Amino acid sequence: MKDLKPILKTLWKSKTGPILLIIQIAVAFTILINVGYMAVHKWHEINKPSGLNEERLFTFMANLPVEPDNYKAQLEQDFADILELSSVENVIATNSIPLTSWGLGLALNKTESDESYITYAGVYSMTDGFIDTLGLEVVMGRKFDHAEMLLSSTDYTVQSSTVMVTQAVAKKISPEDWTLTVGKTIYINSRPYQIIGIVDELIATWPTWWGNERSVIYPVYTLTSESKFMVKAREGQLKQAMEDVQALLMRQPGRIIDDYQTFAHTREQGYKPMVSSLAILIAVTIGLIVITMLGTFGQARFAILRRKRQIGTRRALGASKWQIVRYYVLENIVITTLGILFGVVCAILLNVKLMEFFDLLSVPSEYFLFGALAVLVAGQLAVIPPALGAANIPPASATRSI
Amino acid sequence: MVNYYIKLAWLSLRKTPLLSFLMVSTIAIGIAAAMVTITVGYMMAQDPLPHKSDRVAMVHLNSWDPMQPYGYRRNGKNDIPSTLTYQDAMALLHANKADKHTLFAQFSDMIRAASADIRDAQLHPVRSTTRDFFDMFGAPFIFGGTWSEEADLNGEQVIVLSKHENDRIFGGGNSIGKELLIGTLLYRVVGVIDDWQPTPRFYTHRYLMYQPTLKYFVPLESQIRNELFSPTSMGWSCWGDAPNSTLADLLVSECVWIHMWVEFDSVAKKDDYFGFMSDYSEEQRKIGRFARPEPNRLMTVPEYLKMEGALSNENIMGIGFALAFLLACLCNVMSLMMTKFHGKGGEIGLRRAVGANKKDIIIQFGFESVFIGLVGGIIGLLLAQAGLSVLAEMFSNMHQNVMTMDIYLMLGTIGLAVSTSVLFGLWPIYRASQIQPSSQLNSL
Repeated sequence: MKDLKPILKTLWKSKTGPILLIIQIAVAFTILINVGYMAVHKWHEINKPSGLNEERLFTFMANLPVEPDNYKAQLEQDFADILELSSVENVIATNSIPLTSWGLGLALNKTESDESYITYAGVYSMTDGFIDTLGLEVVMGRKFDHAEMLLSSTDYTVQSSTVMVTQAVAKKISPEDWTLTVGKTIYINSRPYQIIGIVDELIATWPTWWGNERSVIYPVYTLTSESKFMVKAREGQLKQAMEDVQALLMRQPGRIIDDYQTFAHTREQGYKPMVSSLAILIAVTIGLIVITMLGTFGQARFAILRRKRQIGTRRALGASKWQIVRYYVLENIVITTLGILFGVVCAILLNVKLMEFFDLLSVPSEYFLFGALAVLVAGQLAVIPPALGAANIPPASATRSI
Repeated sequence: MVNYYIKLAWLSLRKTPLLSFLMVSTIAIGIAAAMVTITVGYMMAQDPLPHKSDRVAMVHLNSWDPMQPYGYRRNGKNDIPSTLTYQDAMALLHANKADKHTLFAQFSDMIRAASADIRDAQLHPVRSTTRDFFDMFGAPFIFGGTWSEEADLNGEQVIVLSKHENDRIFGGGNSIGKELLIGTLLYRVVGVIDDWQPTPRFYTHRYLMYQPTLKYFVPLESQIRNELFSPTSMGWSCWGDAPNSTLADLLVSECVWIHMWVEFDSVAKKDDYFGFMSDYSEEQRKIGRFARPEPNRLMTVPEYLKMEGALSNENIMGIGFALAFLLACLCNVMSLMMTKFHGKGGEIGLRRAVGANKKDIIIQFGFESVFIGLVGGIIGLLLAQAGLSVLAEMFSNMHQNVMTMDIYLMLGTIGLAVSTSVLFGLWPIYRASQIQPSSQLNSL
């Protein structure tokens, strides 16, 4: 530690290099903390469980090529035909397919008045068998009876009075104990619905919505000319099932099929922009660290170049190689620590700004700790090669001129 | 003299290849990172209608449910729909109070040439709109033109298609008068528009603003008369128990689904039009509609883009991060320059001793930092192009226009590189110029 005083003195004497390095480290630290936090946040979003047995599902949009009066019969016929295929285990129609960014979202309220707003949720209305087809798990309450699961014709004469919700919604409704949610009544569009069951997970249709674990399911499916289908293939027969179903449906004239794809593909497509921005965030961070390490390396080399004679003198006066290395390592720690201290201030300021913009929480303190450690380690890695070089300066160089 | 300094700068860079390489590549990387994000941000924030964006405005009416505010809350405040019900859209259109009106919606159907086999049909989204669409939004025709007023009124089966589709279906020739089948309906081609991509595609919702324009356009009235309806691919919102499984139901419902834009000959007319909108909603209020308190909106293109957040916070943050990255790079270059000029202490001393004054030294090193900036800028420009093409690959859902530099951005890249390199070179150069002839002579 007795090196500390001469180090501070030397740094004070020629300030420019160290100050530049401190700025670099502060900038790198600021960005590292915030980008790191956002990247982790994004990573969690991207890997949020959908609640579906994704590897066995495929989805598509198909029209019902008949007059509106016959929609119900046509859909039931389509279901029956598809279920006859040996490669298919189950099939449903839904108003919206998870992670495709097309669907309905509504506000849930505690009473008729919209003043009692609880949360916003993705709304699914699905046909009978959705629990099995999607592979959902009912964790509380019951699932819909067959009698409750209805196909509504064009005019909303059939209305449901019950809903199922995801656990995330239940936690919003009863924050103290979500298991109490079953049996409660919520209001959607001023109409009461009784919650009869809770599924553990079912992701809403918008991949970029941070609250997309919040979904509600209606038991009434409204028929329209275009239906969205989700099909569960038998184990290992996804490809076969996709071929079979398409061939089957296309037998009917006037049939239009679109967006025919595996759910794995849907997920990949849905999250592609987020995966890309995650990659960019990571690239920026790595770039910054590399540049900062280069800066550290350069600054140390420069300092050593200038003090070649001084180092030689120290060596000639009996300083060991280790003491020389220690000097530069310590110098780097001093500079890096100063950079980190400035960085902490900037990181907090930036974080406050980002919180306004992105609904993010404040960065947890362990990010600062690990960030500081990472920057210190990177600094050490960068300074050791030039420091070792300095240690190898022969004592005799003190006697020569530069 | 200039030649001499350029030669000196070149020699000096050659003398310390590693240091020069580090300086140039650090600047290049920093500039590339900054310019990639700036390009995306700049292209996203462009004025898509430079000559008249303040005379073209979007109509938002608050026809929504008296019991519930519209949709998702915007910044915690109640929003109003950005599309209109069919009845309101038609009422405003027929009142004819603005100089030009564009209504539009969309549907999807199987499309093929009338002569082609049914198996060649492809599913396409179709823009159903009114005849002023092309003129108001600046879509250029290469053959024919928009349809007639009669076509709008009577829902004639006429169609405008994009150059891309004209090339694919008709081999790129003048296809005016040829026929296409939309589903089973025969449509006659009246116009072909050139490749056209306003950036941002301002006239639609935020999340669609950077997506390609549609390739087929037909009169809205023809969609309505033929009941063409794609509930799962068009955007629409309903409240209450609106029956809405067929287009006929939708027309009489309170569901909103039609976008409306108006154009004025002069900016002054905009206020009058807003007054007209207020009168209209007041009338509607008397018959029991429009009961919500939030006001209507009449927004010019820039106002609408701002509200929708065309340039997202994420883009602004990206630019901020990249500029911080550039700053770190420049600090790095500055300390490299300090190292470099320090190493040249002897040479400076010698030049000073044989008669060069401080100004000469400053000019000499000034040239060197300009040179470094220039080379760094050029390499940075190439890196940025590479970065943008990687980005275009990653964000394939966005239109290429957003990830393409125009000439100003290219010049800006070089300019930024040179100016920052000079700026961050000032201090090292100043320090170098302070070296006294005598201080170095004795150690040589």
